[in-house]
Amino acid sequence: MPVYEVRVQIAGTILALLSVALVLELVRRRRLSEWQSLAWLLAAAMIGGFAAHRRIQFILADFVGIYYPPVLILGAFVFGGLAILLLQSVAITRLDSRCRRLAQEVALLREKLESGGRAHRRDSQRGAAS
Amino acid sequence: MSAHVVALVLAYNEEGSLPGLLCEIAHACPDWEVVVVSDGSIDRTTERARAAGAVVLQLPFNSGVATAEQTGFLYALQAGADVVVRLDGDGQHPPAEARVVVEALERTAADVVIGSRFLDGEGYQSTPLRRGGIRWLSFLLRRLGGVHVTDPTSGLRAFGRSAFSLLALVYPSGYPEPESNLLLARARLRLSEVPVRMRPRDVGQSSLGGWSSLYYPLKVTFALIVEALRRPAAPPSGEGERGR
Repeated sequence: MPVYEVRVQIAGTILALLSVALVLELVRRRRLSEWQSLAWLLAAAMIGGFAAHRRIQFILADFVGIYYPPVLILGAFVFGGLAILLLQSVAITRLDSRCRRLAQEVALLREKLESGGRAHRRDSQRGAAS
Repeated sequence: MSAHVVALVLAYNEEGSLPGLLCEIAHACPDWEVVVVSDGSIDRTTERARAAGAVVLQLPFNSGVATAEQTGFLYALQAGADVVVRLDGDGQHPPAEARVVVEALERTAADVVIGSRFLDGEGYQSTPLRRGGIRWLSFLLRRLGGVHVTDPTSGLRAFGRSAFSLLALVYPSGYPEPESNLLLARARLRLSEVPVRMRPRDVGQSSLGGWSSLYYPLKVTFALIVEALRRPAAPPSGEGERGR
């Protein structure tokens, strides 16, 4: 195996391991949910897989009819990135909708609380006067 | 027994125009319950509304017309109201005209009555560019849902219980008037229009300015097409034919 291929394998494996470590650390610190982390762990596994076994990309590129195999990797990551962005947009829309509903509940509860407080103060004043 | 009417006033930083408007409502429509939705106002809108004796629903942050209006519908539903009429806190909707809209709702078999600026062409008519956009939206509503309205962006609308019960559950975001008209019509609720005269706003500026005025028709056009592709919403159970 040529030296440059070994270097690529080492660099790719290190990158994949660093990515996994970063994702796991974020999950451990509760900065990233387990559910959201799966997509990123999958991406890291893909980096590691392609780096360790370069023949996979040649086989897959040949299978889908791509002449220059690295384009397959690039395309897979662009597609994966867009898919993650779409999922994030869906999640943001859901959060936005929940956030608005919460704001509405806060407004309604605040009004109930304040009108209850006003009625209580009125009753207390009447009681003191009589 | 007269109907329980909620006058829903949407206000965002309207401390200048709100006291005058609330005073006008108290004179023109003393039997109405006035509910002000303060949409994350950072001026004295909330205090002014409370001082005028209105019920105030104070959203914790600015959430837009749709969220504010839907908050009012939720309140009206909980308060057992029969009719909700919406007015803008900037003073564009005269309370006397709001009464005309409510009376039309009570007189006819409609579930929603829209106050239209264009039926008799009197009062404030908006800018020519906006009138062109409004005509386009009228055309779209006619083609997509068979809704015949001349003023689909009018905020001066009165809703019967079946209509506001539905909108309390599902309501479009952004600038919701045209989309909600289509949603209501596709839910087989009846819409009608009466001529009203509106005024230019008392103070402040419209939220539709600059880039928003270009984005708005595109967004609404897209939203109307998507709305037409959805399964029609069903009125909430128990609200039946005309729940008032």
